[in-house]
Amino acid sequence: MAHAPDIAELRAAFPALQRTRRGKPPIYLNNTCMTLRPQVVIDAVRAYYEDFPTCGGGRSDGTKRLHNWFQEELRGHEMHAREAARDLIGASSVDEIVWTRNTSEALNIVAHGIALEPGDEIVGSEREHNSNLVPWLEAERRLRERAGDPELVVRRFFELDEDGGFDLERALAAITDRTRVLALGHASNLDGTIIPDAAIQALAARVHEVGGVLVLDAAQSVPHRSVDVAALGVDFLAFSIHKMCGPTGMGVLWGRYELLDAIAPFIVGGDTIADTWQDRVEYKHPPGRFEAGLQDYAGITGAAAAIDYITDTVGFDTIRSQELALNTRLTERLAPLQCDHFWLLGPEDPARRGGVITMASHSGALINAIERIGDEEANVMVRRGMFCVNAYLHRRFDRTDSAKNNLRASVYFYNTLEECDVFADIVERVVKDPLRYLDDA
Amino acid sequence: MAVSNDVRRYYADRIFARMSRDKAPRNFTPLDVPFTGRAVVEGCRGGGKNITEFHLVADDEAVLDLRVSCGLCNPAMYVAGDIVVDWARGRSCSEILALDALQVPQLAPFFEALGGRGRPDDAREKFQYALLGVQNAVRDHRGDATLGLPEIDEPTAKDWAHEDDPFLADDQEDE
Repeated sequence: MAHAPDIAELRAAFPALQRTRRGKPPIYLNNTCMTLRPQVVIDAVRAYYEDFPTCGGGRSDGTKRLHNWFQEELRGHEMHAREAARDLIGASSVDEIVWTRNTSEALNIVAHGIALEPGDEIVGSEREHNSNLVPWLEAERRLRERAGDPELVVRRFFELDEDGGFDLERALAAITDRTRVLALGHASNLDGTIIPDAAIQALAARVHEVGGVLVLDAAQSVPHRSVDVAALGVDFLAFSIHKMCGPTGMGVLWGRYELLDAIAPFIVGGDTIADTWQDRVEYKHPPGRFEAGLQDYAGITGAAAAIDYITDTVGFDTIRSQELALNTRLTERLAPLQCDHFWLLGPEDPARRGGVITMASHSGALINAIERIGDEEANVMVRRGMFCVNAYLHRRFDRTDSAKNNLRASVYFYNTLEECDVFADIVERVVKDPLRYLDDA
Repeated sequence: MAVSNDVRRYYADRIFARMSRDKAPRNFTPLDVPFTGRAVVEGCRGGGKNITEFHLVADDEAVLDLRVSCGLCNPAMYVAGDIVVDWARGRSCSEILALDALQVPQLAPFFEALGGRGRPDDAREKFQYALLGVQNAVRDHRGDATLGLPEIDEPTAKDWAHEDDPFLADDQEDE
């Protein structure tokens, strides 16, 4: 990028940001869940339906010649999308890029496909997203059934620091000769903390020593920073396109080709097979064996536009600097409000929390009041609840009945300091006089 | 709707003021031993995650201990959960199941525990949800099927103390 793009110009490209309700624009602070879409992505999705609305299929390497106008055009877009995704994460081949609906589906493919034996172990942190916890708990359940041992422990977890920060020594100590899978969230959707690259590299080296693989849930990292799978040394990586300005229900599974080629497909059927007979099936090589049935071709077309937009128009330097500026402002405004009834989760330093700031209270009424007043007075959209890290929150906060009372504001490059101030004003009002805002809960 | 003064006062004094980052009143903390009965009740309108959970420990006769966890927002639900849990602790299972949550006069012990001068309707609604939740937890403990929730009237601004005094009528019938 020759120069940093102007945030106001970027905002102008998002139709949703031009809307008003009760005379005010939206203040969208739920970007950890899903981002908004620029016009260029919407146009790409529409182009599929308007210009080449046909089925895809065929070989991902594009060598098979087609005599079909619309399919040729679709294939061009599909190949571009796969190449854009490959380039985004530094993969070595487009055949390592598997389209999924989301990160959850991608992680399910890995957890279901990896061959595990009783005695093998899976390691994660205590704060894995349900998408990177439940598939492994299911793998554990299957192994217990096979072993006939309902007490068999397959998944183990290691603790994080008191403030939620990552502790490399604890993570390394959790890896044993039995570890076959190390499944980690790269960045936390709860508090934004990220595992440093050097730590990922050290963990990858260690887990490879014992014959295991490192699976990285990168849903909260790929949309915000440059991620290079080769440099990190990981084996599988999953992320969602709808968290980076792309169409809803689009995700990516990347895996080292030889590993992808060795795992069993999860959902099978049309387009996953090389050939079938009445009594047997021969599956395609990756990525085809994992992409069952007709795909979301509009989503794939939009995914290419989204990746191009993030990398070429916005740039990760802009994303990082804007998120830091916004989270610094939010932290400066909200941290001084902390008291017995209101506190922040995660490290104090906003530079360690990406674009995320999560507030907590023992009082659901207080949290509800912030959300309700934000919605009613300023069209603020934030997220309340347990954010799919129930297991971590239960472990940390059940004793104080605070596990469920959390409110998360998450920014992206198109948010502004003014929006942060509007939200912070509301939080300040409620926290300073919480019992005044009990009504209409 | 507006939170009634009685609920507001109870919540502020008995719950909010006793909670902090490090502690919560006993009724809102987990049991110290594994539960023997559990039930959830969707005690607030709008669905979603507004789930109140009850966990209890009981023997053949009585509820030895129980706790409530009310995720999210409604002070009246917290208040009702606190009061009904206090009422049920140590009480026999049959006595708990004997109450008819839909008969407002039978909620009198809960209004009494709420204190104040009124019998506000926002408390009435949440008492009913809380009682039904505890009763289902008792059924779960006994291995009985839990019951689906009946229709609970939405809360209004009405105060039952100013109605035809169903509590008094109930008392008279008992005599």
